[in-house]
Amino acid sequence: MFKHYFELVENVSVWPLVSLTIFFGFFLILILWLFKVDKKYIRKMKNLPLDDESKDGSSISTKMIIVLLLMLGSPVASFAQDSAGSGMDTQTMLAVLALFVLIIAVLVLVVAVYTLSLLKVAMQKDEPETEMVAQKEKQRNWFWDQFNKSVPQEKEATILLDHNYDGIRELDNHLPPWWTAFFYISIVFGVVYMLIYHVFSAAPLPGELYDISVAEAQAAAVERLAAAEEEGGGIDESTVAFSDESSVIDSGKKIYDMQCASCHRNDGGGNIGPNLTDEYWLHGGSMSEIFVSVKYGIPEKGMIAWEPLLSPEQMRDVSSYIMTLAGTNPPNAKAPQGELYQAEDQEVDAS
Amino acid sequence: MALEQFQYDNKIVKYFSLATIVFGLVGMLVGLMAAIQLFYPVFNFDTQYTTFGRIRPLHTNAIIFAFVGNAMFAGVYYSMQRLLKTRMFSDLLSYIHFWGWQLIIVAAAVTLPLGFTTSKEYAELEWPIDIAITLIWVVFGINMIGTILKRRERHMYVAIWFYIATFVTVAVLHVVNSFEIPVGIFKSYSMYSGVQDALVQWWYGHNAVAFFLTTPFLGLMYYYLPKAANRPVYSYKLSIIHFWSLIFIYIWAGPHHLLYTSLPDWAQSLGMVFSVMLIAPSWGGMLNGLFTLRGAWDRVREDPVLKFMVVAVTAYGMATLEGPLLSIKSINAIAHFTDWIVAHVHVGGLGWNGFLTFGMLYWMIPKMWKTKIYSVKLANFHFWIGTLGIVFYALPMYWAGVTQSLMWQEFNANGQLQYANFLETVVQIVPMYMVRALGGALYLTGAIVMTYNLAKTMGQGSFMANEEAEAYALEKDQAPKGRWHHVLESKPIQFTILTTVAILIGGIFELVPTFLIKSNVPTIASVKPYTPLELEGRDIYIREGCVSCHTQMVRPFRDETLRYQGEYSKAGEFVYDHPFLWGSKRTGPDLHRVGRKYLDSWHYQHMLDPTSMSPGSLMPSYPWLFEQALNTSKVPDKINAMRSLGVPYQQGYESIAVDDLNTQAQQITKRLKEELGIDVLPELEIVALISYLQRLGTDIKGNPTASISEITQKGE
Repeated sequence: MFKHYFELVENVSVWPLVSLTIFFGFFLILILWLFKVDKKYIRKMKNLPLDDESKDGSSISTKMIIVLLLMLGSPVASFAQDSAGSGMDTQTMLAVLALFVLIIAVLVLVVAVYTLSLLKVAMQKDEPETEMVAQKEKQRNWFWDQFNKSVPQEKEATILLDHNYDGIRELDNHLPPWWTAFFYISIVFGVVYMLIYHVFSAAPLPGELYDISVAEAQAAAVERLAAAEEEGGGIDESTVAFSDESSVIDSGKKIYDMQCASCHRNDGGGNIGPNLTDEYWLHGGSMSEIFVSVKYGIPEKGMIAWEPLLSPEQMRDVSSYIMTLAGTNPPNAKAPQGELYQAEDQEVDAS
Repeated sequence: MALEQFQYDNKIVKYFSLATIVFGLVGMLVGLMAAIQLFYPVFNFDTQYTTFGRIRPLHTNAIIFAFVGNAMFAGVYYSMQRLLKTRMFSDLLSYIHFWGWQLIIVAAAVTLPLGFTTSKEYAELEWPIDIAITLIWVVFGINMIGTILKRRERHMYVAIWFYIATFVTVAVLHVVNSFEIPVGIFKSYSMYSGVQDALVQWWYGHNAVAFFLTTPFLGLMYYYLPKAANRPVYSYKLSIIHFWSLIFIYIWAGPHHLLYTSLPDWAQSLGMVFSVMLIAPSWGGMLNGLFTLRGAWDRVREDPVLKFMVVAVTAYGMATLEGPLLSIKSINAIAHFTDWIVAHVHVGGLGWNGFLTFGMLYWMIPKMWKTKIYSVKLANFHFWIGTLGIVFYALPMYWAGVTQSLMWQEFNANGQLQYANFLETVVQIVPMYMVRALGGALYLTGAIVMTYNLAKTMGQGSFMANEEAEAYALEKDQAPKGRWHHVLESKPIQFTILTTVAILIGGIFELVPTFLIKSNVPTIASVKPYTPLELEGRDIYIREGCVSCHTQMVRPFRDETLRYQGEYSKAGEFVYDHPFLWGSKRTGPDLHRVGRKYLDSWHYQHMLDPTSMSPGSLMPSYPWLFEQALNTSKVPDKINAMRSLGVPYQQGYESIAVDDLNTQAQQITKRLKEELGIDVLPELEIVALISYLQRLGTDIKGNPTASISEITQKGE
C-alpha cells in the first residue's frame, strides 16, 4: 500500500504539497468557521449543553483509544522484531505503519464527530434547552465520572481538602482506574521485555537481527542468481554487451547524470575522475572493462564499487552510455590519462 | 500567631518576563532563519557566523535557556512567593540570578556564532560559561531553598515539589555532563569518550528536556491553571503519585536517544522500557490539569489564557505519548535521525512550553500592572495563529520524516537500495521544509502580536513593584500531623533529600556499569589515536557544527551498511573520541565510513561548493576554510590534554606533533596537486578537515596510508 504510494510521490514531487495544502485549507476553513461561530453564537453555545463536557469527554475518549491501541500496539511493535529484521522487514514496517494509520484514522474520526456535534449546536439556534438535552448531559457526566472514578462535581465538597495555597484548593479524587491499570501494565511490559531479551535471551538483539537480515538477503541473492541463470544467465562482465537501444542509453544517461557526473562531469570531460570521452583509458575501454570498473570500482583512486547500488542491467546501461561518449570532444576536457585504446582491434580480438 | 505584613517582589518577575519576551522573539527568529537555510542555503549570507551549523545551537540554546528559562524563573518567582506567603529569601540573590543569567545568554549568543562549542547538544557552551551557569544556578537554589525555609505556609504545594526537583536534578545533570578539560579559554575536551560520552550526554540531554522543560512547567501549570480557571486541583493523590513516579522514571530513559547505536544493548533496552513506563506518570500531569477544568470549560472558549493552557497541556500529553512510542525500538528504527524527531520536539516546545508561557504571561502581566489585558481579540488572534503555526510546523515534518526514512530503507527487487543516492531522499522533502518554515513564521507572528498586546497592557496599567500581603507566622514547635506525605510536605530538607535520591538511582544504575565494566566497550586493536592534523580537523568539524546534520553512527541495518559501504559502527571505534560526534539528525548522509571513500580533491571541491559534487545539495559552502590558516599553537596543549584523558600519545610526542602535522598537510596538498592540479597552501584549515574526513571510520579496516611517525609507541 505504502510502496505504491511513494512511487507515486516520487514521480510527482509536488503531490504531497498539494495534498497538504488541501488538508490545511480544510483546517483553515474549519477554524475560521469555528471562530466565526464562536462569536456569533457564543451566548447560545454557553447555554446549550454538549460542548462543556463533550470537549472534556471527547478529548478523553481520544486519549483512551490511543491508550488502548498502545496497549495492544506497543508489545506487538516491539516483539514484532523477533520475526522481522529490525523494522527493516516490509511486513513489520507495514504493521507499524498500519498501526499509525489506524491511530490517525481514529483521531480524524473523533475530530469529525466532535465537529459534527458542534455543527449541531450551531444549527439548534432557537430551540430552547429541553429537558431531554439536560438529561442526556447528566448521563454523559455520570458516565465519565464512573469511567474516571471521580466524585461528581455536585458532591465535590466531600473530597475538598483543607489545603489552601494562595487560594488554590485541592480535591482528593481517586486515581482514574484505567490510568492505574495502564501504569501497572507498562511496568509489567518493561519487566517482561527485559526478561525476554536480557535474561532468557529468547529474542535476538539488534546485532543478531542484523546478522539474520544479512543471511536472508544472501539467500535471496542466491535465489535471484539461480532464477537469472534459468532464464539464460544474468549480465556479468563475461556476458555484458554494448547496446545502443534508446531505452538502454536513456536509462544509462539518467544514472550517469545522477551518480557519475559529479566526478566525471556532465559531458564526460572529466574532473576528479578521468576524461571518458577520449581514447585513453586507465583501466581499459572495452565494454566489459568499463563494466568491471563500474561494478567493482577502483577504490584506491576514489571510484566506488557500484555493484551494491546498481543492478546488473543498470551497470550495463551506464556502461553503454559511457561508450557513446567517445569522441564527443567536450570543451575544457581533462588531459588524457592512461593508455591509448584502439576499440576495433580489441573488439576483433575479443570476437 | 501573629498576622504579619510583607510585600511580594513583582519587579524581579517583571524583569524575567521582559527577558522571556525579548529572547523568545530572538530565539524564534534564529530558528526561522535556520529553517529557511534548509531549503535556501545561501540564507546564511555567506558568512561563517550565521551558517546553519553555528546558528542551530544558537536557536536551541536561546529557546531552551533564554526563552523557556526566563519564563520558568518569572513563573517560579511569582508563584513561589505567593504559595509560600513570603517575599523571596534575598532580593540581592534574585537580581544576581537575573543579571547573571542574562549575561550567560549574551555570552552564548556571542560564542556560539564564533564557533566556540563543545558540540554536545544543549550543552554546547564552553567551560567558562559552564562554570558561570553552575554558580548562577546555585544562587537560584539558595534563593529558592531560603524562601522555602522562611515560608509562612506550613506545607509545600505540589508546584514547589516540582521546583525542588528541577533545581536538584539540573544541578546534577549540568555538573556531571560538563566535566571537560580546558585547552584554552574557549576550548575544551569532554572527559568522557565515545560510548560513555554519548551515554552521559543523552542522560543529560533527555533530562534537560525532563527537568528544564517539563518539571518546572508542570509546577507552573499547577499554579497558573487552577488560578486562571478558579477551580480546585482535581486530585491530590494523583499529584503525589505522578510526581514521584515521574522524577524517578524519567532519569532512566536517556538511552532511548541511542537505540541501535554502539551503546551496550542492556542500556538501550532499559532506556526503552523506562520510556514506556513513563507514559502514565506523564499523563498524570496532563489529566490533573485537564480534569481541574471540569466545570470551567465554558470559560475556556472565552478566555485566551485558558485556551493557551488547554492546548499546552494537550500538547504535553501528545508529546509525552509520542516520546515513549518513538522509544520503542522498531518505531525508532523508522523515526530516528529523521525530521520526525524535529516535529516531536517542536510539539513539546511550541505547544507545551510556548503556549503555557504565553498563557502565563497573559494572566500574570495584567495582574501585576493592575489592569485588564489590552486586547482579548489580539490574544485570541495570537492563539489561533500560534496553533496554526504548530500544525503547519509539525505535519510537514512528520511527513518528511516518514517519507525520507522509508526511502532510505527501500530495497528494489534486485535486493539493492531503491534510492542509492542519499540526495534523492533529501530533494524529495524540500517542499516540506518550506511549509515548515511557514509554520514557524506563523508562530513567530503570533509572538510579535503578543509583544505588542502586552506592551499596550503594560502601558495602560500601573506597575505594582511591591505587592502588599499578609499572613500568619508559622508556629515553631507545632508537631506535624496527617498522612505521611502531608507531613513530608512540611519538611523541605527531607523532601529535597528524598528527591535527590529518587533522581540519582537511575543515573547511577546506567552510568556506573558502562564506565567500569570493560566488556561494555570491547577494544579494537587497530583503532589508533588521531594524528595532530586530524585532531585539528576534528576540531574544525566541531566548530562548524557538522554534527548538526551529519551522524557518525552506521546502525546495524542492512540498508545502512550497504548505503555507507562498511560495517556498522562498533563501540571500540570511538574510544579516542573526546567528545563523541554520533549526532542525532541526518539532514545529510552519515559520515562514519566516509574515510577514503572519495579522493581528497572530491572533498576539496565539495567543501568549496557542495552542489558541484552533489547537485541539489542543501549543504552550504565553506569558503572561509580556504582562507583561514590553521592555528597550530594549541597543538601541544591538545596532545597533552588528550593524553591526560587516557589517549595513548607517547610521552614527549607533543614536541614533535607540529612537525607531524606539517608533514601530513604537505602529503595532502601534494595529492590534491596530483589528482586535480589544485594548488593549495598546506596551512589552510581545509587541509586539516580533509585529513579528518579521510580518517573517519577507517581504523577498523587497517590503516595502510598512515605514514607519519608512529604516535603511540615510537620504534615498536
